[in-house]
Amino acid sequence: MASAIKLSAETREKLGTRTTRRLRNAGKLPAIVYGHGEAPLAITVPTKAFFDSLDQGAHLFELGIGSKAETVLLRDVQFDHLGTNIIHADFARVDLNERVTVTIGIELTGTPIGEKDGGKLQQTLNEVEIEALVTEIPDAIHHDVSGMKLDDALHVSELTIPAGVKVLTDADSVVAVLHAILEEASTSDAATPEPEVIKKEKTADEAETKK
Amino acid sequence: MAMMPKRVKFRKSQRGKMKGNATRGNYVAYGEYGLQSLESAWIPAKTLEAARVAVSHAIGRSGRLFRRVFPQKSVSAKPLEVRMGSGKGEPDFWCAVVKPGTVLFELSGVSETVAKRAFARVAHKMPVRTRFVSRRHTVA
Repeated sequence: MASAIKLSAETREKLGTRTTRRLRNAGKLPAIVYGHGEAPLAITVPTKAFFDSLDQGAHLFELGIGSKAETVLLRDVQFDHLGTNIIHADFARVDLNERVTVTIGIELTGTPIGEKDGGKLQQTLNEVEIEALVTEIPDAIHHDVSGMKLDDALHVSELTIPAGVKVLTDADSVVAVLHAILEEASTSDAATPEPEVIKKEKTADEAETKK
Repeated sequence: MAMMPKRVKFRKSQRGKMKGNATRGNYVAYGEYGLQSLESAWIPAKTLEAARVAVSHAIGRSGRLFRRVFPQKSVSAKPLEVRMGSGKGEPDFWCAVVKPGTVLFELSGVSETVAKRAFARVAHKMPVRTRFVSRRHTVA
């Protein structure tokens, strides 16, 4: 379960591309705090401390902004074009006894029995949307798949969900399947035909006017 | 067989621009590991097919390959020893337009070592610099 991770934050007076770029170079991550009917607040958080807490699967933070402390939920992060670095974070103000909707990852553990029969586990769904108390948001949904046999499918409804957590994703969605490995169909080197060109069909009136 | 569209509105396309970075298709969405382009280029359909063959040889019967780019663009060419003029040439090949950040291929159901080995073979065939990427954790 998530406990609030303490981070010291500073307010940002100057906004804009150039300023935020300088902040990132100085090891500070631009972020915004909003919600609960209060005015949005542009802030910075220390990049390294924030990344370390993300690695631990943190969702909930306690931001020390000046003399004030705010409990916030991580709502969104923006990545650069290569998806390597986080360049901005969104925090939403929350109460500790508030139920919130968040997306969390699914982690499958164990080796299925069916793999001995030539099967291969394929995970098709990697995250689920849940509703839970702010203080009870799990790091991830852990599910043991060691009991899965060949051609078995794991659905969202069968996942091991912690108490107090409600899953909002469709219960019939397939999380993982254990398929037998099939030989790939051989592709022929036959001459490739041209694609069909989509043409607008002429109406009778248009054909007559042309004549 | 190299990929091409089944139906098109126009057989011949204009050249277009390749400026900027990929704003979509730039993260690993289906598999666990991916091969990401670091440059922009036109990747011909036969190169993509060669990459598919290389990956299927490298991973054997395990795992699944996802192709994240499709050759939508036709490139025309004039025959040899033909004088200039007399209109645009006939379509010569089909290619995918790739920008920095585009994920070209993804693999699932294989170990990281196997995926790295498979994508290293693909990287040699690609006309762009590439890098190996993994699925990122759900953070928000």
